[in-house]
Amino acid sequence: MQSLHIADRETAVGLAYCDYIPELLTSDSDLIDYVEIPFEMLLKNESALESVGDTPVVLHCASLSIAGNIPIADNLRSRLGDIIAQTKTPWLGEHLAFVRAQEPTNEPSMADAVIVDPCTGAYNVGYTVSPQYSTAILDRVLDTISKAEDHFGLPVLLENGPLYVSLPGSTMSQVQFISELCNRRPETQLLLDLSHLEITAQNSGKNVFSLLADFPIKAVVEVHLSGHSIQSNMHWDDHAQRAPKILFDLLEVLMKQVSPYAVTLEYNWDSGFPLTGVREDVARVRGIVDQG
Amino acid sequence: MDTSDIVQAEVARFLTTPGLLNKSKEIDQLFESDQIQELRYFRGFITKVMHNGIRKYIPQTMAALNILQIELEFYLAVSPDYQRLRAQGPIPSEIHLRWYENALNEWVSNEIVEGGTLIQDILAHELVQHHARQINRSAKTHYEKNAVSIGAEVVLRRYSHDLQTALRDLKSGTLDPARTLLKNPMNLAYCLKTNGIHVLIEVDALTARALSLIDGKRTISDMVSCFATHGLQDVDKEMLSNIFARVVSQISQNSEV
Repeated sequence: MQSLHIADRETAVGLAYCDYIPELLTSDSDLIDYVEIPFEMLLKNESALESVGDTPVVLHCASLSIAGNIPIADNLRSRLGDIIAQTKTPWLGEHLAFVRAQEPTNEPSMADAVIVDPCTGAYNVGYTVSPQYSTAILDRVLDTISKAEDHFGLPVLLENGPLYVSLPGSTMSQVQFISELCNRRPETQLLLDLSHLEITAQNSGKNVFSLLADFPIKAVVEVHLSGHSIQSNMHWDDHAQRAPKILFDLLEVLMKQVSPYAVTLEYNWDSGFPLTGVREDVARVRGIVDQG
Repeated sequence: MDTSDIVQAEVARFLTTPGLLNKSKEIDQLFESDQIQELRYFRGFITKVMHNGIRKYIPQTMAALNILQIELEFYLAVSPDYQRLRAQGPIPSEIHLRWYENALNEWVSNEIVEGGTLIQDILAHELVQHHARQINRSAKTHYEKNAVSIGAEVVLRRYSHDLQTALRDLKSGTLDPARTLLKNPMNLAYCLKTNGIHVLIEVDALTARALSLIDGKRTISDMVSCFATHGLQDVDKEMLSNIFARVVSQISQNSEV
């Protein structure tokens, strides 16, 4: 299997793709080591790939619906394989979530203009949803991840999602679920999203440093940082905001114990994201990973 | 029967079905009431994220919704309509913006929303700027001999709030809903100069009226007659000349928006 090192660095630092990235790569050629691009963006338009030139690319994905009962359609899976090869990504980052779901009776109530998946006819949320953390879903995730890695021939990292609503029937916490996943399948590799961890902690009244202490960090290959906002008394993911200080503190704690291959700043919801902030936070991450 | 799949399917159905926004028997049976509200906000959040494509055109509107803490209420309220629109296929930006404007205006008019009219002003402002940037040179006003011109295409808008203060506060992160919500009507003139630079100046009611008469044909005498017709006989050539000279000076001094 190819090396997971990017740009010959122990821990590479990158940015999630946004419209400002091509210009930034030109003006600040040494700023970052890679760009993370979503598969779904490249499906619609491959120009993002061309616009980053020779900069290494890491592929992110939200289409496998790992925890759902509707697998990715054959044609999409084929396109994903093509793009994995095209980008030469060292791994595929995917969400521990479901995006599509269908009632087991296969007779969904499709009345009233639902948004459905055109290939499978299932409900298509169009966004990743934290699943039920149960043994049944754990079994499914284990099976799906193994098959995905066999099929695509590269590591598929599982990313912890932000927990907004705990689904009924959950028998364990998110961190317990991920830990058990790694216990049952030791070769599992993870994408630790520190923003999502903080959001999960806030929304469930837990201490995020305690969650991190219980997280199987030895399996972490990539780390994500982004902003978040508080709306309607809940914490929400917000890639239009800078990462708060606590996430850099968490990263410091993490880096003292393990050396992930990559840390990505997800500042990709606002094409007008202030570049001063981008540069400062990339420098801050570099400072932490170089010390760790 | 796999209950995990039933739970996840019901959640997916709730999040994607316009008609289930306010009532879902299945969700009521599965979740506690506070969790149902969290699920509804999640639906609003997903709708919000799906508008990231037009954020670059209306960043201040989106920032204001966030700061005024009415973001999720708005996107939740419009989610059924948005889902119906989205189900038809990819949404071109201009259609999306028009939809967004209508949706926001309808929401503010139908609900008691603190800060709603301020958001309307901010959105109107951003849309004027967006459309002004798209003005094609060839579509600009043709000026006849002696017609009044100030060397710029002008779009006038009247706002019910002190928009410039609100935008300054928004930029500095000090937007105070309690202060900014005080209505303080103002007229803004969006001036697109011949070199393509776009400048924004505040004008009083008389100046706004004078600028609105510029049509590429009217001379200053014509304008005096217009004012007289509307009962403003005191407005003479000298007054109008001074008004336009002041506007030209403001345009040259103000920086690009």
